[in-house]
Amino acid sequence: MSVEWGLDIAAYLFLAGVGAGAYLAAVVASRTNRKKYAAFSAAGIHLSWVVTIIGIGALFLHLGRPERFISAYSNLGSWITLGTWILTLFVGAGILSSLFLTKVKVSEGATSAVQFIGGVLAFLTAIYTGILISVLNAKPLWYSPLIPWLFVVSALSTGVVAVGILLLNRPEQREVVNKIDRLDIPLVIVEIAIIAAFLATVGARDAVANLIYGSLSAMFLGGVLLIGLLVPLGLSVYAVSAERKKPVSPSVLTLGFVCVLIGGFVLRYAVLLAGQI
Amino acid sequence: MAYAMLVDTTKCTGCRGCQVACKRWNELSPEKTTLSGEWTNPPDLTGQTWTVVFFKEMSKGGEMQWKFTKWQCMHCEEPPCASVCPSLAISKTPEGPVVIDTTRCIGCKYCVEACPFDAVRFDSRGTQELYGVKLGGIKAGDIESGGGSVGVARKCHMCYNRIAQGRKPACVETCLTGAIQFGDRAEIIQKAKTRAAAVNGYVYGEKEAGGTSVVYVLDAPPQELGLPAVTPKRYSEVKADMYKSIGGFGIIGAIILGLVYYFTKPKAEEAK
Repeated sequence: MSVEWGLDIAAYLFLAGVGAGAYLAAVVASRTNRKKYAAFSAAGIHLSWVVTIIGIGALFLHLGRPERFISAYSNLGSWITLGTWILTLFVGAGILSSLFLTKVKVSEGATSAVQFIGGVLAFLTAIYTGILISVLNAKPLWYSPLIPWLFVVSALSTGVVAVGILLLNRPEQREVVNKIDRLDIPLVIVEIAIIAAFLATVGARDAVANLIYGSLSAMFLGGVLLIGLLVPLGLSVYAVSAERKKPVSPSVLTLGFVCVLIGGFVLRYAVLLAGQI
Repeated sequence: MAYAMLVDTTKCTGCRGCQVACKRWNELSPEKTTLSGEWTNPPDLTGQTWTVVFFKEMSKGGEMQWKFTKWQCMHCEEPPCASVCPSLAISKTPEGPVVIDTTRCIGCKYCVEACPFDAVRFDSRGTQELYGVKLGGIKAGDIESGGGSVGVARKCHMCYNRIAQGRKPACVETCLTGAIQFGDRAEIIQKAKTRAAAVNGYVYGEKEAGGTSVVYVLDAPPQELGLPAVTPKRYSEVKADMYKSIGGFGIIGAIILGLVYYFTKPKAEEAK
């Protein structure tokens, strides 16, 4: 079998996840404590639609006939059509939210209404990237209800750390960055649990074997499990315990955040490849 | 009327006449092949090869036997490829063929991923030239010759354009041994069952994916011959099942989150 959904689709699934996660986190943070998380929230909102657009670019280049992309809006029974609509509206809500934060002065009600709608669209973006492949029983590895939820959790963790990277060089945001780093601990644990449940329950035993000790094991065990999950988990736990005595070097946090991003990308690439070969 | 194609593999001699007839009627390009040690040639379906006879050696009672299995689109009664196509480029015609409108296809390859029979292929020949970038490979002149569109999904269309003229598909017409037959689907299924009973064999395609418009008579279990095991569920049921499970896990997740919140929240306040 040939791999028709490869690097470009993996990049897109990853970037859309980062965008969706960043937006969701920004909105939730701003609802919890607007003043404290002002910088985090603004960075998340600006970042969200920019990375999502880059992801859409990857998707566009993947098409055999990109000049006909407009007809992708046609079939509301197809998850590509639904996704195209969700992405369009999400990017629209993201750009609008950014404008409301910067150039355009509107009432608070309007801002939070747009952010609420944007938040719903962000969630839909994150979960749809998983539903897209999980409705295909032709690829037994993908036909699992845990993939959409795995991608949602991964979207949250990669989105949050992407914003964290943006705030790293701002000393006054150190407390927020520490919070992001700490938030990663439960997210990584949940992600490991979902991945374990996914691998244990999914029908495609040979694809699972391929991920664990076959040709994709280096990518999966090394890239996803070790670099993407265990290393950031270890670094975060270390940072939490060391922080009590003296501030941890920002490079420790950076390393953890970058590892989470690498893991998020490799996770999608490994799942795509394992499903197709 | 809904038609179907019968592939009686017990009558196939592996002459590959169907492959040639398919290429000629559909004006498909030849494939550049290499010596691989396998007898199947070309080695697999592609955007320019819509049917291929798989040559498989099997041993029965210590004696080597050739198994020839003509392969192509199965023309599902409820085709997943059409269901997932975002641009509504794929449709199931009332006569039975599942047809791709290559002028609507955007080349997203979702149908390639969605086909449970792995029978849809992306035709990438010459797409670079299409956009004025020369990266080697096929010459610009080849783009519209040899099978028309490029950068789109392509597959067997059961010669719907011959059926419309009251003719049989090209492969059926050319088959010397009667291994490929064509007719009313109900009659074809009856024929397949009778023949399968006679050769103590198997019927494939009557139930797979909710039924297909290609029905096989096999003298070995489908999986031994390398045919995919496909659920008898229709694609709409396959999708509905998945939606239910995704929702179920969502509810379980929400309950767990709620419990965690409920049990951790008071503690945090006590600590203050």
